[in-house]
Amino acid sequence: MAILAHSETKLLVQGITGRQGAFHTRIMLEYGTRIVAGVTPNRSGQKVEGVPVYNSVREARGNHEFEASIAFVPSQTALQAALEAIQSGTIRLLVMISELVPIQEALIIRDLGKKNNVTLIGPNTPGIISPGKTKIGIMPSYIFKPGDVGIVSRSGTLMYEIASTLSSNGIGQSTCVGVGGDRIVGTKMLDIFKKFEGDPETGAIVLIGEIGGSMEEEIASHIQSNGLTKPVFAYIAGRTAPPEKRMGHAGAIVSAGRGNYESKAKALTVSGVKIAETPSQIVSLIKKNLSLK
Amino acid sequence: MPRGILCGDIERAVEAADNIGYPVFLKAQVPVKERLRLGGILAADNRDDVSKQAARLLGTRIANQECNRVLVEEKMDIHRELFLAFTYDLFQQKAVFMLSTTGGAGVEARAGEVSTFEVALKPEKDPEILGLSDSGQLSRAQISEENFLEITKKAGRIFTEFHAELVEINPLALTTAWRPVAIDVRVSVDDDALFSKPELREEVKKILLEDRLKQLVRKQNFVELDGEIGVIGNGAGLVLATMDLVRYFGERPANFLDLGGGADAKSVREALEMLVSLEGLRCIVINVLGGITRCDEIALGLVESMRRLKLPNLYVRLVGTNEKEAQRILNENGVPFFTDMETLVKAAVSG
Repeated sequence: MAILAHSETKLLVQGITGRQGAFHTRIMLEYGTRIVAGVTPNRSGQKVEGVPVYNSVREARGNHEFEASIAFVPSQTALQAALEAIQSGTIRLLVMISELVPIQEALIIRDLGKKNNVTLIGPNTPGIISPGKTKIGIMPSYIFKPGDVGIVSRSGTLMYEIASTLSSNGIGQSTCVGVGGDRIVGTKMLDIFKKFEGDPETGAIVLIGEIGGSMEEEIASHIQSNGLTKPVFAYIAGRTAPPEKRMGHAGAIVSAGRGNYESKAKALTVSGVKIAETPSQIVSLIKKNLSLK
Repeated sequence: MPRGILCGDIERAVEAADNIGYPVFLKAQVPVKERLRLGGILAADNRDDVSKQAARLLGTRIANQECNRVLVEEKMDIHRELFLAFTYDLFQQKAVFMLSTTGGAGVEARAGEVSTFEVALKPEKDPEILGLSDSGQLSRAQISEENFLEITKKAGRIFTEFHAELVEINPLALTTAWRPVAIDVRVSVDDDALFSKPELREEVKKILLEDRLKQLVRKQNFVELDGEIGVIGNGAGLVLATMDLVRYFGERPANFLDLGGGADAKSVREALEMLVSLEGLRCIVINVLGGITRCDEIALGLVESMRRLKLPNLYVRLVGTNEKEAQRILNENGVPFFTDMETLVKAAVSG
């Protein structure tokens, strides 16, 4: 069974009638994702790609069962949408696609999610894909192929890049998760890493990290305390970025000498993780380290 | 807070100082750290001093920021200085409250003396500092709990209502009469909140410079660096990786530019317009990898820009819908088209 979501996971789409929401609902349905209902205030009664729309999560809950939600709402209303999903009591997994969510709100959403046992992925994430099983996100499906490499990434398009390189070299993926590029994320890379460790369908783990914060160092620490249970490979972006300059992702900033490339590379190397110097090197590292690939 | 009057010219500054009573400080109103060290805060004991100091500040630049106004402020008899701040600790992924009972300039360097407490944030509520009253910090600070809690409540409110990433009072001075006075307050607002919250933008507009606000509201991210190879891509991580590849192959990136999601001809045109202003640009690498991105549209945007702007050589990689059509358009216009990121950058660096 894939981590976080599987082929039977029933999904709600918040913001379903918006341009992004409607478009990706169609793509996800084509992929086989079980979307059962959608929410857009004041649009109850409408249908998007055959999916019934309701005014609120509560109204949708009164008519359908679902345990996950994906939110395509603008950052202006992200907090409300997230609170609705968390307070529903039945949603266990919330994927927030929204970018530019204020840091204060991201933190409030994360804490409330934790308190109510809701796994929050994002914000500012392309979502989750378990190739061949389910897609709760916006990533281009054709890039991903079923296999046993688990990918956890801070960057969306860089995840596509590396997955694409793996796929074209016959190395498929079990599940790929974008934790998001913001400073405060709902679920850290370490949490996903631990799930991959416990997932029988994942034989190797790829970390796609970035400068800023200390998520990669946390994984290194965890490995040092608990041992390396599966082969782990990493690519860390932003080696060239100068300190104190925010480069795109709010999270990618080297501040007061911490969160830099060297700190992450060193910590991971010491714990036995193989670091790729270029994205495509991940492939040669995997091939070299795993007899069967 | 100490009594202070904002002044835009020397005459008014003198008037203000007479009004407030000597001695006074003249503080340059520029959004800059460490003003004291940079000569942005000067003392004056009489009218002549005020004229002299005002002339030294007004119309000059401090850390490349123009000083158009000074705050003429009463100089207090300080008995002791504290430091306090609300901010986010990105490593701990928490909101925190920091306190030092030995505040003032240079407190960051004396990190060992700063106590940090976790802050609980709840929707529509004041932030709560966890564990502060039990810590014994307040008695050490020799400030009444009542006064202190009032100050932290106000600062906490600014932190949440203004979506601040930082609210810092440094120093919070205790005068010889044991009165707490905020000598300097710094507030840094979250850019994402400025984008997402129109009401906040309206409030901030009253204080901030207009053009800086315009810059923030634009979604594209552009950072100037000092190399010769221009870089454009979609997604910050991919752009960073492209820049890293430029370095890997022996050159230096001229910039960071993230087109963001939904790149199209217009966003490509705007990106190239920004890059063209950079000096010493040898070529530009464009790396776009997307599912729904329409590559032919991007190619058209590139070709159009080539006609309108004086561009250096372009090296392009486009993956997504209609890539074959994009390839045709670029081939027709003599622009090298690549399907692989590393080959792309290698060619650009050696071209």
